Amino acid sequence: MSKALAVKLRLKQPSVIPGFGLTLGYTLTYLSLIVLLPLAVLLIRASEAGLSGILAAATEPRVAAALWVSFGISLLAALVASLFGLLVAWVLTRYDFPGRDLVGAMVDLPIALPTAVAGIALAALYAPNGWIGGPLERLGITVTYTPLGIFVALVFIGLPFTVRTVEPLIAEIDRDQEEVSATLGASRVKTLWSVMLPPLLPAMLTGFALAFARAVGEYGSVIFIAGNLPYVSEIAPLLIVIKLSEFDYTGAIVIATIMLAISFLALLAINLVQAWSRRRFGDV
Amino acid sequence: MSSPAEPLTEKAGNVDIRIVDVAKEFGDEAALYGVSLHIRAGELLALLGPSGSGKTTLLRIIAGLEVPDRGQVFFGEQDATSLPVQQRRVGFVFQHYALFRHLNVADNIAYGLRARPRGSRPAEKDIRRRVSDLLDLVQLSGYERRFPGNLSGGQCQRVALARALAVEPRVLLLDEPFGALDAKVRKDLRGWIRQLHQRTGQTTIFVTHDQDEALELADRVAILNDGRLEQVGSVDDVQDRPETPFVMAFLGDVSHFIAEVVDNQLLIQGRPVPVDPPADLSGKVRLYCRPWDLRLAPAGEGHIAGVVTGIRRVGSLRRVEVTSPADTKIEVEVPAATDLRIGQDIGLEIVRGRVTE
Repeated sequence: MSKALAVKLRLKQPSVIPGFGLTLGYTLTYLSLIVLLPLAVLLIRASEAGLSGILAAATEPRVAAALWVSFGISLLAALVASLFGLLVAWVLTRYDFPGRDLVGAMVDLPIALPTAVAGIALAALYAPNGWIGGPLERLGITVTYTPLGIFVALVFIGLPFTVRTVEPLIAEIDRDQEEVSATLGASRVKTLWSVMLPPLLPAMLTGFALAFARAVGEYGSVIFIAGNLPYVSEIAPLLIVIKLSEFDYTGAIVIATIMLAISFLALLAINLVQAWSRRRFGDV
Repeated sequence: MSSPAEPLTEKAGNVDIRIVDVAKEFGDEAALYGVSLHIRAGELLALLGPSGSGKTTLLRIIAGLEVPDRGQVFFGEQDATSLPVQQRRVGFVFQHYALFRHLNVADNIAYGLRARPRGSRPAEKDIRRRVSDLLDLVQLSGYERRFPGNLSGGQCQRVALARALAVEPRVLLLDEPFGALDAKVRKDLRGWIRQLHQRTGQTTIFVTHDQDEALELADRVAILNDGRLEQVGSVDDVQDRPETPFVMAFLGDVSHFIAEVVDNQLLIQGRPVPVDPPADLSGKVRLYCRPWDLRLAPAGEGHIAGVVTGIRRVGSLRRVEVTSPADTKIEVEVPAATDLRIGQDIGLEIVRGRVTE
């Protein structure tokens, strides 16, 4: 971009660190090549099916069921992961105990682990003859090869995101605020609820959004534990793979496009709530 | 302050506070070693001391934010030593305000009232009236909907005060309340707290390391050093009759000289000094003098010889720094009209002073 143009468009603010042209150019090139181009190809290929084709695919019972399973369970799992994540982050930042650093390092493992390995491990653990699956089976709860199995896998992979986003904020909580709340006569529960949690809400929403996005796209860990029964425990990404293996590229792309649209709307909604909560509870 | 606020003049909650032999150790610093102190109902007391003297620890023990290792705290007749902080009914104001950033000014002030259990919680319209009375009192009417992020430091501190007063505390505790404010705001807020105290008669204890602040604001001053109470007394007491060398030195510039007591007469270098030594002292003693306890004399006269090494104008007076042959620096206050120059040989005559040791 020429200097004159940048000045004319008021794009450039005087700054100590130069490089507006370079960084903006790099950003646009990067976004175009890595993100926008593949998405554009997806949309172009999907448009070959036409709007009616997309709608027909979306309302096909098996596809609709898979989308419902994917998004519904992802939402639930992200919610639960957010609550557990808050708890884990709380314990890791507020208390000092032997092995704290070790536990802290373990939190990130679900990100580092190849997801298929996680899926196999979870399936073995929760199978009717597994360590956890066995006792649960006797209580009448079956985890593997049911939507419950998908839920367990998605909470597992979502946890690191929810822990890591709230952790720095919990560390920043001002002790003075807790103490002042106590001197004003507030009970511990009241202090926790009214003083300590509200400032954490924006970060919890970020963690929730990340866990949700990751859960929607998750494939490897889910297919080993889900049993993949059509209409019951079949997730949308698996359906895409099935379509691809049947050489039904258009079918696969249509489902992908629908997922993209729903994900985009969901993340947009979360972002709006987040913007509101930042205004309400402060960007701290 | 112009606007009266009747609900705040209830003095029923005011109690005297007795601290009996309180000790607290943290392993390193800011500890207390057996401090006893009686704070009278309705008085404004300053806990004064250098950093690490234990003054904030003592304040936090009164509030119930720290538990003493030993000793007791009484609120009136009630032994409050093991009373949880939530039940002590104290108003605590932190140096950095500790306002709830996600609540607006009105909700911050109402917090303590809304936090009460359902049975003793005032009706919402009474809470709102009380908040608006308190906002009047701290001169922030119209700021109800503002968030702490949009307030200046002085305004934040006044909101913190209103929030502490809202719960009708038995004692108001202020921890370095002016420490984070700039000089002008600090001065305004000082005067304002003084007025507030005169009007409400609220028992108030504040911590400060600034002797001017303590002397200007407080009825009585308790001076702490190294976890021990050095002296408690009125502003005049601690200034005019300091009981320890630490108090003497901490409350302003002081020079000290080695003197001799012979036949109940104080001598420096053989010349008599017009200060009566305590009857039980003899031999070598220390004499402490403030800059206004000394007078300049022509070279070769007076008790001490020295050279003028610095001249400063302080208000209507001149501060002269005289360096003695032993290389100690002595501060003397003289009228501004005195004719002096740096490097001039001069004598010092001792007019007043305090003898110890």
